[in-house]
Amino acid sequence: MEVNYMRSALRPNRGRFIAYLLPGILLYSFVLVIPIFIAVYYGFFDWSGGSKLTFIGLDNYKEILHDDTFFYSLRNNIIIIVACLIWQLGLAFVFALLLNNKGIWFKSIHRTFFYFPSVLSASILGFVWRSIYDYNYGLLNGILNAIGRPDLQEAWLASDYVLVAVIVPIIWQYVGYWMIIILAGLSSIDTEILEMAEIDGANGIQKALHITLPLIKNTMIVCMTLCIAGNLKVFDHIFTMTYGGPGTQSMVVSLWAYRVSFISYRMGYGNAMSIVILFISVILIGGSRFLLNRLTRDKEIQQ
Amino acid sequence: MKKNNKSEKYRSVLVNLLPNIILIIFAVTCIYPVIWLFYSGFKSYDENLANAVRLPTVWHPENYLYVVKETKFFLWVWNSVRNTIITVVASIGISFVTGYFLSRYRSKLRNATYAFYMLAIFIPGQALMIPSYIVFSRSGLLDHWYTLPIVYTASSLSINIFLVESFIHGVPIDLEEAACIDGASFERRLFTIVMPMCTPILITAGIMTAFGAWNEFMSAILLINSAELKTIPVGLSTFQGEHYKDYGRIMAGTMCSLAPIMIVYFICSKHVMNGLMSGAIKG
Repeated sequence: MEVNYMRSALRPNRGRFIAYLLPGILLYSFVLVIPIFIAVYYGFFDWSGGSKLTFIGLDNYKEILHDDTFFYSLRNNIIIIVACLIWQLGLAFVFALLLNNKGIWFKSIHRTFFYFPSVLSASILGFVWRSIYDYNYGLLNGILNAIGRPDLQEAWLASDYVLVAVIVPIIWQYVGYWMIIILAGLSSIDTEILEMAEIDGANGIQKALHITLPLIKNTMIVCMTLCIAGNLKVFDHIFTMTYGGPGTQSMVVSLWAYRVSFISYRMGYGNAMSIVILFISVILIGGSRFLLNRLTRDKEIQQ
Repeated sequence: MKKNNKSEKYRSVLVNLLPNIILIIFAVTCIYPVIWLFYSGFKSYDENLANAVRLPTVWHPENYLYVVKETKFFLWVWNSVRNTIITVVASIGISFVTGYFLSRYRSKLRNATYAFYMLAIFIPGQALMIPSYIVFSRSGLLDHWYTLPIVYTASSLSINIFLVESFIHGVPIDLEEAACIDGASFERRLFTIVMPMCTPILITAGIMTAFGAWNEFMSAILLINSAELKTIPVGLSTFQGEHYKDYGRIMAGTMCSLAPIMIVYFICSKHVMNGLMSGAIKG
């Protein structure tokens, strides 16, 4: 195997080395690492953001354990994550397979169009879909009217369907994003394997599930991990579409932490919540990654 | 054996008919909301109320003219453009150099640095927004022209460094060694030899960073207050708050906010697709 490491003759001196790497490390620490310590610190205080700072130890964390809205938000986050894993990745996989076939028209147009929503701002798309869901002038009710079912019209974002209504744009926006990644992964599959399977009599679905999917296992695991991570963070869509409403029906953890800190002026509590969210994220993301690797490794051994 | 080409062709069309229809339907749903937004902005208030789906019978340009003339729309565009350019340049610069070092060196320090940078992938940015606000507020960095580029650059480093580092693994070191023997300085080797070879991955990273910075909302809302520094998403949010009753205006405003990136995307779509599918993202 070719060794591409630098031998000492090529190395720049220590000074240069530090000069090149330090700015990045400082910037990264300042924006992403120091805040963690800040959050831990202020999580132990009762603080409204002003000058009055009262130490209260673990009381914030105890309060989170009893915070119904927090747990309801977490439940919403999990529902969103599961829905996205199934629908975003599922549709992306199916579409990627379809687009890989011969006999499909407009391939590159499809790729461009499918990917298009994911380059738009989530917050702006939130406004777009808020317009679509509007009771008076929205596209959805307009279509229902046009096809003769005005009885189905609703104020979607104020109804009991609000969580479903909010999940649809999130799925819609990123199907193309994952599809492109999966397409890139599919391009590394040797077509001979699929042709041999066809000769052996495998149909499309069998080929997809038993040959293609295992071969792009790594890509899919990366996608699943990123999908979980991304949907734990979901904020923009909810903020602009419902602001967590009606009431707190579509609340998610990041938005709740935001409201607690900046609207209720409970910065200490908000910081504690941020740390809890961080914890949950690390466990969920790391855990799911571990689980996925574990599950798929066993299958290979069995085969 | 002669192949019956005609029946093969018909069969192919039939078998693929359903997939084609499904794909076309989804492609339409991807683009139709924006189209709807576009022509709805030309409708009057009453027309929007009367029938949401139809094309306007009379095309009223007032809404769009209002957005373009009476709001700070072009200021928002300029702010977004400026933030994005600074972010991309800084991020690519830092991640290229860091990725290079992380790829070419082997040591415990290198491993620690790499792990350090990869941490952020597991940390949700939103969880840090509140303490981040405190950090920026205490250091007087809120509400400046450099506030958002700082945040966006730092946030993009993990992924970009990851991409550059993996890419440079595949770049043979022979050229650099040859140049070193010929007397080229380190800077010369890094920027005139290695960097051009990394163009594909730098373009991919640049595109992803640009989109991320352009569309970002949460930090922009939190860390910027003055009207002169608002980016497009924040500006739209303000606009929506002021005009929520005027349906036509809302549509026009939202459409205008999407227009810049739409135009850039559809003009450059070939490059974007190539950049993304070059296999760099396979992970």
